[in-house]
Order: sequence, then C-alpha cells, then structure tokens
Amino acid sequence: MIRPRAAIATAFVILVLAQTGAQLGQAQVPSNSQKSAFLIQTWGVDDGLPQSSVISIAQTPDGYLWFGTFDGLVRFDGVRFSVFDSSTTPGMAVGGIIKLYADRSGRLWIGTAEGGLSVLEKGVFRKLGPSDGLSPGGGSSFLETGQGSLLLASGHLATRKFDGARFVETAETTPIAKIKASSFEHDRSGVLYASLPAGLAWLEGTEWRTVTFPLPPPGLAPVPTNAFALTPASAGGLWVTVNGQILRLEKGAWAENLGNIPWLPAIRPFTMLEDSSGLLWIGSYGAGLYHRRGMAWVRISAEEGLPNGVIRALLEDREGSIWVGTDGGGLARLKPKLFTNYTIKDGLPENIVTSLCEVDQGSLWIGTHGGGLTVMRGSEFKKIEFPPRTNNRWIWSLYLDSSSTLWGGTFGPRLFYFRDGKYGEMEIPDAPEKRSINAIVKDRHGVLWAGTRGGLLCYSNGIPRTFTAGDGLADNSVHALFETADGVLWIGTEEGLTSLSNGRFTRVAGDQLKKVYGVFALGADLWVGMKKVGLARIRDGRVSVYRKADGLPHDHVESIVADGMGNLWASGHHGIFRVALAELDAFSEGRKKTIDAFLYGRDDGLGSRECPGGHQHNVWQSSDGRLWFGTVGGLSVIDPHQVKPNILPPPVWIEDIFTDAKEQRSAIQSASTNEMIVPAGTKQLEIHYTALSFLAPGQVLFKYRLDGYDQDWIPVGNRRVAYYQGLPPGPYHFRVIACNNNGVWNKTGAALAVVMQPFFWQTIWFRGAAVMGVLLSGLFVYHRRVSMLQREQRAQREFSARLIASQEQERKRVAGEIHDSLGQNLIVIKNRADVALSGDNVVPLADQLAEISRSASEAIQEVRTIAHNLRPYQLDRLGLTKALEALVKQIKSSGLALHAEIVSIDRLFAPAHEINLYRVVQESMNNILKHSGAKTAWVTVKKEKARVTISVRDDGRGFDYPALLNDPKGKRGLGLTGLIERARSMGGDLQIESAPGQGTQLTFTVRFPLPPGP
Amino acid sequence: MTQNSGSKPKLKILVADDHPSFRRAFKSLFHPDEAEVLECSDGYEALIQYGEHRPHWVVMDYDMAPMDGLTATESIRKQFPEARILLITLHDGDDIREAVRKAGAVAFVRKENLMQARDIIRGTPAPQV
Repeated sequence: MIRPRAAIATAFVILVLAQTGAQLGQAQVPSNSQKSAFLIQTWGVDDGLPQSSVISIAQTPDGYLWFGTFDGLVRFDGVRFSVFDSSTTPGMAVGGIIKLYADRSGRLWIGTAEGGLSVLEKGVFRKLGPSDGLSPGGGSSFLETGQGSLLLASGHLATRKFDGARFVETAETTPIAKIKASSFEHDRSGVLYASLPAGLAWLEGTEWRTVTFPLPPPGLAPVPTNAFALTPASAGGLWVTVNGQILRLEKGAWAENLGNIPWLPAIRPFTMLEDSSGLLWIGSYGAGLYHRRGMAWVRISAEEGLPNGVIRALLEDREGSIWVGTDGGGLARLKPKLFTNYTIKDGLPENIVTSLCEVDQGSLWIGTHGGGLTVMRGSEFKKIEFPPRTNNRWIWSLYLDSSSTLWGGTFGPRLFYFRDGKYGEMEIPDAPEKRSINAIVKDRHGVLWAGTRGGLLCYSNGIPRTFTAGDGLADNSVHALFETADGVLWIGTEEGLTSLSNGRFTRVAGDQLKKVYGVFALGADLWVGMKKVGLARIRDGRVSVYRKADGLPHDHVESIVADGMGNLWASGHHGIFRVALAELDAFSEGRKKTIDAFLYGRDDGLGSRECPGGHQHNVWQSSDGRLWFGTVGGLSVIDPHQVKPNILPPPVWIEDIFTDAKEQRSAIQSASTNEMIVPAGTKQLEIHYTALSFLAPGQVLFKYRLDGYDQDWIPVGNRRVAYYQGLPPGPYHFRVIACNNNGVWNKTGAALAVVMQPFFWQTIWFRGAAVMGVLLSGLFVYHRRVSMLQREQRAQREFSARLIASQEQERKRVAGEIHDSLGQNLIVIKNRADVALSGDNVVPLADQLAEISRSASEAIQEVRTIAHNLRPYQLDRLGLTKALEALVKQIKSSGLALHAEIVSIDRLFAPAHEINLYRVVQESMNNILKHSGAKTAWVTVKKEKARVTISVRDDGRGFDYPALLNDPKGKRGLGLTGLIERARSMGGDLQIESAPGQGTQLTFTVRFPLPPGP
Repeated sequence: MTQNSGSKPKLKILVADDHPSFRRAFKSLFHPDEAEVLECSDGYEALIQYGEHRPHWVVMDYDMAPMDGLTATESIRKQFPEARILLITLHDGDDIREAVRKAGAVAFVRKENLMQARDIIRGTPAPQV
C-alpha cells in the first residue's frame, strides 16, 4: 500500500508541511502584504524627468501622458520624456505645473503654481490672460460639463466658460458662479459638486444645495479645512474621504459608508481614484498608496517599490495602468502582475528552477539547478534533505507515477525515488556517458523509462537495459518522454521523435522533427516542442510545424502545456509564450497568414524571460488550474483565467522630422499639418514616430513604408525612427503602423506627405523637355531590339536544355555499353587469369587461356564498336562521302535492301557540320532499322549548285507525323528532336512525310558553303 | 589443398548472372567433383531455382533484369532464412554495402575478385542438408 503522505515523514526526508487547512488555491499563495498583485515601475530624473515631483497627471485623447512638475510640463510616450517649460516653449505659462486637465476636444489645460494658465491646442501652446476672459489669480479647477463646455473655476472669484477662444460668462455659468468654491467635481451622471471649506454643495437645477460633513468617529477630531479627497464613484455620486471615513455622497445624501477603517485617521488622504475595475485607490501624503481588494485594504509603500510615500497625483490610463505622481520621488506605474514570482528571498533554495511536479493536491515539488529539491505548500518552502553521500543538488527531471512514487533524475547522474517513506536509487549502467537523466516515465506495464544523453534506460523488474539508435531510436540523446493514453511511449531525441508501441521503436515524421525537447498530448493531437526549430503538431499522422517565421515569438520551444481554455503555453530559453489553439488551426488551414502569440517577460512579473530548457516538467499545471514555470530567475505562476489581453490598438504619431540632422518640425509645433516640404539638395531625411501603449513599450512593434520609394512595409521591431538617404525629388507618402504588446495592430497608423523639392534642373519640365526627344527616338529602336533579343534568348535556352538532355542520354547509352559488354569481358579475363595463376587448375590451362583470348577478342571488337559509334573514324581519315558509304555497307549487312546513290560532298562543309550531315543519315537509318519494319530503303545524296539534298525513304509502317509532333515523348523516342536540331543548327531544312502504312520520306536540304561551325 | 577431400559432401552453388561468359568463368573456379554449379540469368530464376535445388550458396549479381540481385536476395531470405547468399557487383560503395547487408546477404565481393568468393565458399563448412 502506497501512502505518499506517510512517505514524506521519514528519517531521511525531514519535511514538515504547513498544514494550514486552507483550501489549495489563491488563498494559499503568499498574502497580498507579502506579494503585491502589482508590478511597479518607476521613473525619475535619471530617466528624463526634469524634476522629481509629479504634481499632476493627464492623458490626452491622442494617447499621450502628461506630467506636471515644478520644472515644466512633460510628455511621455512610454519610452521618451519630452519637456516643455516656459523658458524654451513659447506660450507656456511661468511656474510649476500644478494642474493638468485634458478636455474631450483634445486640448490640454495647464495651470501653474504662479496662477498662470496655458492651453495646448493642435500642437500650439497659448498663454491665456485677462484678455482671454481670465480674472487675476488664475484658475484652480477645470470642469467639463456633459455638454462638452469647459468651465474654469477661477480661484474664489468666478466660474467662466471657454467658448473656443476665450472665457466668458454665459447662462450656463451664471448659476454655477453663484457659489465660491475651491474646486468643482461632477459625478458620472453629470451632477455638479462644489468643495466648500466645511462641506460640499451640489447643484440642483440652478440652485446649490449644501451638505455638511458627517462627524468623525468618536474620539477623533474633525479634519482641517480642505483636507479631504474626492472622486466620482461608479455606483453614483462621489467618494469622499473625510474625518477618518470613506463615504459616498449621492446628490444631497450620504449613501454609503465603508465603515471603520483603522488606518485612515492616521494618514492624510491627498488624492483618490476609483479605477475601471471598481478598485478604490487613496494616495496619502507620506504614508503611500492604499487600495481596496475585495473587502481588504492593502498598502503599497516604498517597501513594495514605490519611490516614496508622498502621493500627489493618481491617474488610470486607457490600458488600465495606475500612474502615481510623488512629491520628490518621481513617477511610478502600477499594473496588475500576470505572473507572481518566487525567489531565494521567498525561501527557494536556488533561483534556477528546472523541474516541477505536484505530488498531492497542494504540494509542489520543485527541482532546482544546484539547490536540490524543495517542496512548496501554500507559501512555505521546505527543502528536502537527502541521505548522506547522495548528491542530488542538480535536479534535471521529476515524475510522479501512478502509484504515487516520486521519481527524480539528476545531473550526475542519479535516478532516485521516494516510495513508502523511503529514499532509494536505481542503478545506472555506463554512468559516465549518460551524464544526466532528462526525463522519466513509468509506463502502464510498470516499466520505468529514463531518457539520458547516452540512450534510453529501461528498467523491467528492476534490471537496467539501454536502448540506443542501434535499436531504432532516432538518436541516443533523449530529451523528452511522454506516454499517451493509448499506451504509446513517445521519445523525443536530438535527431527526432520515436514512438514505442508493442515493443517496436518507430521513427515519427522523419526529418521534419529535430531537437525534440517537449512532447505533450491534447485530445488526439500530439504537440512537439523543438529547440531552435519551433512547435509541431501531429494530427492524424500529418505534421504541421510552426516557426518564428510564421509568427511565433521564437523557435525555442522546450516545454508545452495547455491551460484548458484553448491555449498552449510554451517555455524555453527565449521565453514563455501563449498561443491559442484556434490560431494555430487557422494558420494550418490557411485562414491566417501569421500566428498571433503572446510572449511574456519581466514586464509581466516573470522572474526572468529565460526558462532552463531540456527538463521534464519545466511547466506544470497545478490542480487549481494555475500554470507554474521554472525560470532562471525563480518560480513563476500565472492564473490563466486572469489573462486579459490588451485589445487597444496603440495610437501612432509622427513626432519629429530631421533633414540633414536639423530639426524641421516637431509634433508640438505643427501637429495640424501632415505635409513636409523638404528643400532641394537635402541628403538625409529622418522621421521620428511613436505609438502610445504603455503596458510594455518594448513590445510595441512598428512597420513603415515610404510610398514612392519602398516596395513594401518594412518591419523595424521597436525602433522609433525611420532614415532615408538621397531620396530623389518628388512627392512621397510616409506611413507608419504599430501594434501593442499583444500584437494588436493599429493599421491606420500615422501618415505624412513628404515632398522632396527639386533643383530647377531637376524639375519635371526641364527634364521632360530634354529627355523627351531622346526618349522617343530611342524607344522605337529599343523596343524592336529587346523583343528580338528576347526571342533569340528563349530559343537559345530551349536549345541548350534539349542539348544537355540529349548529351546525357548519349552518355548513359555509352556508359551502359562499356559496363555491359566491355566490362563483363574484362571481368571474365581477370578472373580466369586469377584462376590460372593460382595453379588451382580445375580446367586445363590451355582451355583457360583459350577462353581468355576469346573474351579479349570480344572486348576489342566492343571497343571498336563503341568508338565507332562515338565518332566514325572514316569521317576524319577518308572524308564524309566514304564515311556515308561505309555506313550504307554496314546497314546492308543487317539484311535491309538498301539502295544508295551518293555523290561526293567532301570538303563542302566545315568538319563540325560534316558530322551533323553524317548523323542525320545515321539516325534516319537507325530509325528505319529500329522502328519502321521496312524491307527496302533508299538513300540519295545529291548536290545541285549551292545546295545539298539528302533523302532517306523506306517502305515501312510509317507513322502519324502531325500527331507525333504534338507528343514530345514520341518525338524524342524516334530521335526526331536531335534530327531537327541538327538541321536547324546548319540553317537547313528538314521535311518529314509519313503516314501509317505509307512508309516514311525524309528530305534534308542545306546550302553550302556554310560558315565554320561551332 | 587443390581439391576437396572425399569426406566433405559435394557443394551445390547457384550462380545468377545475366552474362553467360561470366557464369562460365565462375564455373571454372570449382572442380566438378568439388561443387555442382547451377546457372540462372536473373533474380526470378534464382528465386525459383533456389526453391527447387536448395543450393548451399547463391552467388548473385547485383545488376540484373528484370529482378535485380538485391530484391532476389531479400525474397529468397524471406522464404528461406537459412539461405547463404553472396552478392557480387561491378561497383562498390558504402551505400551498396549497406543495402546488401540489409537485404541479408552473407558477404559482398567485387566481380573481378571471384577468387575471394571461392575462398568464402570454401571456408564455410557445408551444412548437412
């Protein structure tokens, strides 16, 4: 009887599991006070902020984030801070920026500490003053009404409306102006509230109704004037933090009180925010940031990574990040952590986590690189102590078999187990060459398998045996093992995938799979992870491979797991990524051209992007559905249910343009125009652009193209500048598009018309006049020449191809002859001579020599025939006419009645052409012998004036010549292609007349003298 | 050493080659008292004749038509796993040797070295059939 729980409490395994009794799951991860649910990133003066106090924050509708500091206004695109202050930016009011407000029509309102007011509209800053309707003292509060009117509460003096040019008093402002308030706020239904020294007022129709603050809880003194924070509530009305309480005010009534909050009276709330998920945030002056999760309040302070505790501003951007402005500490951004990471600090023995295995619900066994084995239960880590003299610090693989025995493999190597409370080891034969145990499986028959670099170990009844490539494995280096439900054992090796079924190893998918480090079955599909090769799916025996080139973030897939929500998760040396199964199906079926997949990194809370590959169960799905990843920077866990992709396509903007390193335009100066005139003679054009996605700016990717110059979109990764050198004069159109961290593209992007101005001599008129004349006259000649050359070239190419083919055929024939006849005779001679020399004379020596002589004679005759066929010797010695006569004589000897009439045609043609003439006759005669079945044939060679006519006729069966012409195979069979080519190469004319049963007549006419042949 | 002693049973060898002069040359390796050499000129014939005569050795040419020596070797070995086949070829190479080994031939000899073939045949005791 196997009792895993008992197994742990042994003399060797000193392990005390924290039995909290709590349910396994979220409640058992470290409490929020230990592990923040947010990833905090900070920026300070070193990163480009002009000053370290961020007093106000706004996001304009174009997507930019704006920060107000005591040393100017800052624009941020996720990567670069651009600073605008009164000394360098015309139109910027003097003083620290204490108030920013982005209105719905895209204007940014900027209030300064010295009472100044500026507005940024369509890329231009404008300072407003008394002539714009402002009263002295400046503005302290902006408010946009439901109708889109912007109201400015100007100190304690007046409220005015901006009419597009200046602030005026209108019917809308008259009732509002009746109250002297320090600031205004409106709730989400548009009800206006005014902050008063000791309370609030709300506007009912045209009348203000005041509401007094409730008294503080017993024992607490009322807070000083204005020391309260308010923000619109999603439930209606406003949240108000005052007198040690958090209350919701809806019109005139206190609608909700969040109850006794012990820490609240001790802090000074400065700013408040309810984010889009309903989470309430309170920024305090000195005590950090508080937020409410469920019913619990969590404090985030410098300890968790905030720059300091003095919170001046809070803003939720459109992607859900919380931006925190601090006094003296710069800027911080909080975003939900996808992954929670555990390191040495949390109790891990080592940060490089190799292999994972959940033993009983809630106990995660963790193998590390150098730190041995540890067990995590809840948030507690307990190191496993091994017996003395067993060095198991480098855990390479972990595996739990069906009888609850935990198996472990190490670099070393050792193959150990915990069973029935005892530690044990299996013997490893030839240990040195096996080095490491990469994977372990105990199959349904109880046979234990272990993958090593030196083959596959098999323990049947405890006796080890090693299987290698010689036994049918794709390779000796085994990286992965997986047993599917049908009882097949899958063996991933360096050279491919092997299956073991019914005692037989079978190579799977041949060369398509290499470096198989991960195997995973999902339904009827087998998923294969390959290092440097990508991901593969085997479905119904067909293999689909997915690579980086197809859209995967990388090709280093070493471990694979499914999340039960339609996604695969893969890990490897180049990181963890998630891809939807439907996405892979769509790609395989051709419905999608690229695969969208999501790569995770430190920005998502991972300890490291890198996962140590090649280990069994580097990824594990625990019984609560969470996914655990071993990385080189700790153990990371994600709840796949919490994964919400960023679906916002990022706004794309062109920011600056430089020509020959001089800034020509910045987006701020002329965002309204989208055309750029570049002066004549400019060599370099540089266009800076950006895309506004703040979640992971490093993963924002760009593509651009310059219409009129680039042929296609140029993918440039996350580079935010385009360079062009030596653009010819003319109009161009620059376009840039970008995607967010989840690969969602803004396909509209940004565009800019670029006109490269010409010098006068570059103008179209000047050039046109000059070029036109030349062009017209040249065009006609050129056109004729090109089409002629093209025709010739085509013919030449076709001829070359045919020539090569016929040469190869001829070589094959000659090789065959040498091999079959000459070679055989030589072999016989050699062997008979060997026998004779050995003295072992089975056959009398004289007989042996007679046989040798006979074979030698045959060989000589064969050499003669082969040589003659290659080149008739008469042609060179006796001339063409004699060669033809010899040919006729040779044909006659075959029994064909051949009537020949040959006149002398010697020295009429160059030698290269003589052979052509000879071949025409020879091949015609061969055709007659081989194919025609003729009894009689006639050959005539005639010479008339400057023309030679060769005619070959037979009375054979003939053929359907026109049909044959359309059948290239038949033509080749009769060698007609060669005949036609030869005739053509001499400029001659070849006529063939034939019909079934009518015999064949071939007439070849050629003029002489011909120029020397090729 | 020239001839087999009478104590050894007479060998039966089947030579399969499409060149009669080669077959004759092969025959001259053995005294009629030492071995009976049967002839055939392609793989099919070799397969049929093997079944009929069950020779101790088959000397098989690699290049034959219509059935080549490799296919014939495989077919014979499939039906008669005890068959001892010696392949002879004009060419040599690792790929050929590998194919020959896979087909189940006992040995591999180049055609011009028939004396080697004889040594192999003589060096192997004839099984008692």
